[in-house]
Amino acid sequence: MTATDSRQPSSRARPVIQRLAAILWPSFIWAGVASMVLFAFADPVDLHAISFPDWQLSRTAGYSIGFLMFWSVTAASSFGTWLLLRDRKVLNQQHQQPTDPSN
Amino acid sequence: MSATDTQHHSSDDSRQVVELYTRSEKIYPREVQGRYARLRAATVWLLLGLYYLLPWISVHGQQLVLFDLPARKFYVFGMVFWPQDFILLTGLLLLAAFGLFFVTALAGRLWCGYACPQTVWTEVFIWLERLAEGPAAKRRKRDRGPWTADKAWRKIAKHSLWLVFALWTGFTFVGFFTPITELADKVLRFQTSGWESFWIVFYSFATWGNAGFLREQVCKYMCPYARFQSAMFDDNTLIISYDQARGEPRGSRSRKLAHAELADNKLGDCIDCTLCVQVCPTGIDIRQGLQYECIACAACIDVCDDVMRRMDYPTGLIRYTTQNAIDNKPSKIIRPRILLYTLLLLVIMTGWVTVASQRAPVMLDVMRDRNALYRELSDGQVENSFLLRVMNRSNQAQEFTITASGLAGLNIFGDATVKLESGELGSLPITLRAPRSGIKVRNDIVFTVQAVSQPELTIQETSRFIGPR
Repeated sequence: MTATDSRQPSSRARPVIQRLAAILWPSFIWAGVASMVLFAFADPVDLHAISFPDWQLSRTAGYSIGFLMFWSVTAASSFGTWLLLRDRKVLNQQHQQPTDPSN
Repeated sequence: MSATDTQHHSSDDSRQVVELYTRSEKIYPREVQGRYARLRAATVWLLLGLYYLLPWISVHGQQLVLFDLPARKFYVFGMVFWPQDFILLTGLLLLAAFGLFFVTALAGRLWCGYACPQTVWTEVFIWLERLAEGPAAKRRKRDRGPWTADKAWRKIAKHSLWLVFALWTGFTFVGFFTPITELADKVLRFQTSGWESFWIVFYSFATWGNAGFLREQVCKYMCPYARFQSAMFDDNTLIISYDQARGEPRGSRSRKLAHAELADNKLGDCIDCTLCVQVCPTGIDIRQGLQYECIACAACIDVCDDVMRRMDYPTGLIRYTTQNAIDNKPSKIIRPRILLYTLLLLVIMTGWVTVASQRAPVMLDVMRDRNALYRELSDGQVENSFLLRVMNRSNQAQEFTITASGLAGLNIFGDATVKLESGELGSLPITLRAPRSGIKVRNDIVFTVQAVSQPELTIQETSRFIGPR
């Protein structure tokens, strides 16, 4: 084992783009579903009236904000799941000293 | 070797090992011609043609397919749906899901290979890439080589093409949710609203990233369907498979000896040209058996059939088949799984049509005037303006009268009748007036539209009369 190896991510780690995709994409789908259900029953104009009536917000803005709020929540949840599912080897490697004791 | 050399060498080695696992190798799928490639090109033209043209088609001044979010109305081929029709949307989504399950059980991943937006847009992005950078082999070589003026302008050309196509895609997408002619007008004058611009750019970026860069990675790492489609598979499902019994032992041979080698039973039909691997957009070897990465695009069938013809062997070494057929057992189309999906589809379809056909025969859509909340008149009255859209869904021409109630002294100023042909959608500006006294800031009012000759044809919709603070 060389010093270079211990700084490399574990072979189990996925590239950033795949991790991002695995977190952002399923949360995107479910945010879409949640928005559809919410806005089928609630008009953004009514939500506007009971929340921040002094702000200038169109319906389109209401839909967009609603969707993005759902997405941030679902993405946060996916992110939490990813954190908890990370392999112990990856976690341990991060805490390792630069010099590998096996050397 | 010097010490630095050794170090350099070992870090290179380890990087290679790590990359093998962590970075997916860029795939340059080789061009392929054949009947399945032609079929896919046809579906690409059909589906993208529908996508890009549909929002531009209007009938009686009404966009044929418009999920008008700003107005909370959904126009689909002459039918109008409202948020209250949510159950119908749910029904449609269920139909789509079970339709997909049904097709998957019967014919495998046809959806992935020919109809999935990911496949369809990736195909176009690859066409554009080929236009700017040439065939796959040249692209790979140029990508690995140093930067030259030729490489730079080809990359610029490719990204310009991609960018234009992606922006057009994003614009069209937003055009399904807000009237596209108005949107086009706004885009040309750079006057789109903040959110419209945001969603155009967002969807363009998603198209550009998914079809230009992620490609097969979307199928391999992001697609939920790829993960559960095997649950619909059984031994009678149509799959793409390599005929192991016929192909093995594989090996290269000269064309002269093509048939002699076979006669000696030394070699199977697979000449191990690896073209099936080179054309695969997800970079797998179909000869290793059915894999979840396989999107059933049939590129390997096309290319292998071509090789077989050139070798004067029968085609179909890689082919659409079923596990049962490979095992020399009969394949069955009708089986419990298929019957169950068919039954479910029929039940949902019947329910959908029943619910959809029992909706009100008159449609009313009330929109407040967006320009002014209210107007105070000199005679002490307050005025609100509305735009009523009335659709006569009965099967004969009707004259409708419009009344408004819910506020003391509320009266309609001007004409309050409208004549509509069957299926006609009429827009009617309505001005309401009410005395200043007794008006709150927000007053719930009810519009009633009633047919003169058929009083049972009636519909109501609530709206809001706004007064001064």
